[in-house]
Amino acid sequence: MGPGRRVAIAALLHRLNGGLNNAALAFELALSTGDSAVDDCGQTLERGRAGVEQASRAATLLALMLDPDAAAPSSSSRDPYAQDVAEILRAHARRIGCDAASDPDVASLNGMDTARADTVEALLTALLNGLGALESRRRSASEPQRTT
Amino acid sequence: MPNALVVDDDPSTRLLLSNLLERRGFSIRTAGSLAEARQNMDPPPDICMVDLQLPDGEGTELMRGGLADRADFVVVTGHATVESSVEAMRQGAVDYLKKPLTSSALDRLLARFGRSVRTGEQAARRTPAIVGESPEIKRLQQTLARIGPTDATVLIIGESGTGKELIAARLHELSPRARGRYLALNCGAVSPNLIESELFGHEKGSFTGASRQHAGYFERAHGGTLFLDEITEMPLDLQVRLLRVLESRRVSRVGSSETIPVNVRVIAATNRDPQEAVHQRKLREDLLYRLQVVPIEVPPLRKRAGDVRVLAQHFLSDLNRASKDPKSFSESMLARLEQHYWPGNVRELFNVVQRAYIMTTGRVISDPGPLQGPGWSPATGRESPLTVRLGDSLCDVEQRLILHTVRHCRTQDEAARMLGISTKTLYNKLRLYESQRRTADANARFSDTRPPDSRWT
Repeated sequence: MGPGRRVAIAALLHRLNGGLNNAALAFELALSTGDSAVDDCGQTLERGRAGVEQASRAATLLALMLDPDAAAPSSSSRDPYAQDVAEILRAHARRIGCDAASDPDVASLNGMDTARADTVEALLTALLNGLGALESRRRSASEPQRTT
Repeated sequence: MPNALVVDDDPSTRLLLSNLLERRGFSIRTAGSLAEARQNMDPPPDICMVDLQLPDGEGTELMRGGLADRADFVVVTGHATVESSVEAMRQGAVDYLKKPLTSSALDRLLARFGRSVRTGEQAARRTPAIVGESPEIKRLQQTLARIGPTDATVLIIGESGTGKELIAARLHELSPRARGRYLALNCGAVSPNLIESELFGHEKGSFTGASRQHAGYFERAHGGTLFLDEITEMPLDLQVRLLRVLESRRVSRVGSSETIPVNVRVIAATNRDPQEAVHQRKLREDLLYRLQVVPIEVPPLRKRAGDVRVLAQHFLSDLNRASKDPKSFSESMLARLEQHYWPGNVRELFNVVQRAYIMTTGRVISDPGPLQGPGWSPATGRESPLTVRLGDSLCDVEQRLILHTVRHCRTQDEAARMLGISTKTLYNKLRLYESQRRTADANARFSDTRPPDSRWT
């Protein structure tokens, strides 16, 4: 398994769990809100729904990664997936100490591939390529510098 | 109001956790990374809920550098492992919670660490209001509104049960330190052997039983307010140390020569006459002058005209709300309450109302039950005797006797009768004492020549 794929699985599982955890907490909060706080309850329910959707998208990407024959969502639902992919790439770049803002290579990994991808399958490819490139960068940064 | 810091990189999780804690009466700060959290640690929160995995490191890193001593850290994670939980506890976390976090898990945690678990209506309410319509209480409320937002050290003087701690908490809430901690220590309730380490902290091994480093009240109240109740019960040698801390704004733990800067507003309280306590060698005079930058005298209930009725109705409303079994007072009950002398003040009144509420089976409460000392009245009641030492001047003894008597009488006429002098003479003497006190205060302030930037901030 390539390094990009390994990191992608961990990141998607993290988002899947995070979304479900948020949904569970949001629904518990919403159910315990009294009648006097209907607006508050509505907002909390909305956060719960967003958590479920985040988990669902992460599960879809995981399924596509593990089973290429799995049915992909239509291109019309591409935007939230693109946002997820961009967030995962940004978070991983930050975690390994790559500054996406000042490093043109990292910026291109984060942005261009994702922007060009017009289907969810293409977004998944961009995610794997991006994470693979970031992992290569991390490994080369951690190797001792050779002097000639 | 307790304060919580929520550290999580997921904005939704931050919001939901904040919501959960807000419903339990916490004020909230949030951070999305370790760096942001470090910027939000001053003043230290009461409780810090930190995610294990953060963009710039592990949440446990936040506990290093002594921060675990200043706040209760709870690690919250969706990836719980035995190793990470052991590491979190080793770093000083008080608990380790697995996501999804539930209300009941949070309540169990808060209850275990003595945090108030408040929900719904209670969460929105802060310190109970200072209830009353008498001119005395109105004046007190105005004073609080004026000095609350300042950083002045305050000495609250009042009999037991008058609500000194309530006033201290209110001063904290009105101050810019309201987001910081409010800690209260009853100096009379802690063993003299322990009070030093409680106040100033101790290093590991500094005395038998000091098995770990301990941050004292001053360190933990950094950025907030420290209320020292029954200040006259603090041993005199510790009063010297307290004075030094107040002056230098630095504290050293028992067993350490290193001093730690602290930024704490101190509010002290006593149920004794401070001057009398100085005469009895219970309170150092220099500490008294340092503490009473602003003295607040809380009137006893018997001097708050009309407030017995108002407070009794207020307590009854609270009880009615809580039990859904509404009751009311008969007019004769209220009249009896108004006639009582209330040596235990508001606390005694609350207890009487609560007892009468429980004991009454019908809808109307008409019997207050036994009130303290049947037939007790100012004329027959005797408070603690004045101590007069050989060498005290006659003038001084006279002043103390007069002030003591006035404090324990409903009116100046009554005090004059008890003292065997005319009301006019009493009035003139009181005016003289007041003018002497103002002159002494002004002199004390004038002699304090430190530059303004060295004061408590």
